[in-house]
Amino acid sequence: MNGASRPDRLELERWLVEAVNGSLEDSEARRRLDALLASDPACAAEKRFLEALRATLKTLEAPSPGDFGWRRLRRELEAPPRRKPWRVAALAASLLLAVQAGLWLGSRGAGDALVPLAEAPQGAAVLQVTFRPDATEAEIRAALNAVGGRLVGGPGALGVYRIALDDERAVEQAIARLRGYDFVEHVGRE
Amino acid sequence: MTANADAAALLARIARGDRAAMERFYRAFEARVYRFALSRLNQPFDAADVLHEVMLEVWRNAGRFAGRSRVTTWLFGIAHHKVVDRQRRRGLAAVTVDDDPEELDMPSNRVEDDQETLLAAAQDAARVRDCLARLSPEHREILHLAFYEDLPYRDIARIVDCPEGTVKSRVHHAKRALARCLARAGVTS
Repeated sequence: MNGASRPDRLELERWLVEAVNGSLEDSEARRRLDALLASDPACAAEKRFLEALRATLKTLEAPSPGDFGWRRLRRELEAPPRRKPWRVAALAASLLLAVQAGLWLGSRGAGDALVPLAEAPQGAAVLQVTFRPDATEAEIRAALNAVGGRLVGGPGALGVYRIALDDERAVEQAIARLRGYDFVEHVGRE
Repeated sequence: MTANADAAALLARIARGDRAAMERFYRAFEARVYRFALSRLNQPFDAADVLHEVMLEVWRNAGRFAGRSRVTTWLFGIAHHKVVDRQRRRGLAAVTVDDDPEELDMPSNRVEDDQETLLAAAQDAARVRDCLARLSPEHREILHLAFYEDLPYRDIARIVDCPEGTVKSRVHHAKRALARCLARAGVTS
């Protein structure tokens, strides 16, 4: 096999990768690659490595949301269309689409007085969270889902929401995670 | 009818507001979209959120699928942009760790060129998983598309929205980074 038949390294690698994953359609490239594999031990070894890597990658487990994810999506498809950003009182109801009971529809008292319809469960840790005014319902719901939180109060006049966490041990992790979202203005333990 | 034609037919029904078609589409592709998002984000909760956002996008914009590419190419393209947007919102700039052309011509005397060690390591699921986690998001993503989704470079380029030459370079560097990690794991174990 002379040098003129050998492609540059990146092109050869493309032939190898596509041959291994079954997507190499260029018959001329296939012919040249087969010739190289028969004559070049390093090339043949590389192919074996890629085949092993591919086989192993396909065995790595990563359970997907499955039915839970479909129910979450279906609820959103069935929800009435949103017209306004999150400060509308109906947002509290739509957030229940992804959290458990603990809905508070808001009855604003003086200042930041909260009038919850359901208190946080006994033993639950409660966080106080404020969101940016342009935060969307989907973003807020995603944040609550991410930390396993339940909406149990808010917003008051200052826009503070109360989020209950059933697992006391996960509080610090939840705070750190919520602070990582750029649409979260403040989060702290009540 | 091929799988792609089936999927395209579902999209046409979804564009008309057919929720049963949306459910079929979701169940057909949710695992793959989730795994693709996970390959880059390496965070299950975030990957689940991206899956949700992608499927919402499908529901809202199924009518925009024009059939110029495979359905999966279109779908993964949406997922790629959702992931990138998420990372940008969090201030995680995409760091491209590619493109050192001179490295391509360096002599082969490195530990990752011990082919027997590499082959054994590539067959060790725990090592492969660990080394994948150490790669950059872009490298994990490209290896996932090449070796889990089995896509040609042409389709990968469309999904990650870059030239084929960049895909070639990125696959090369991703493979090298993974091989280095696997080889080190093999030597120290």
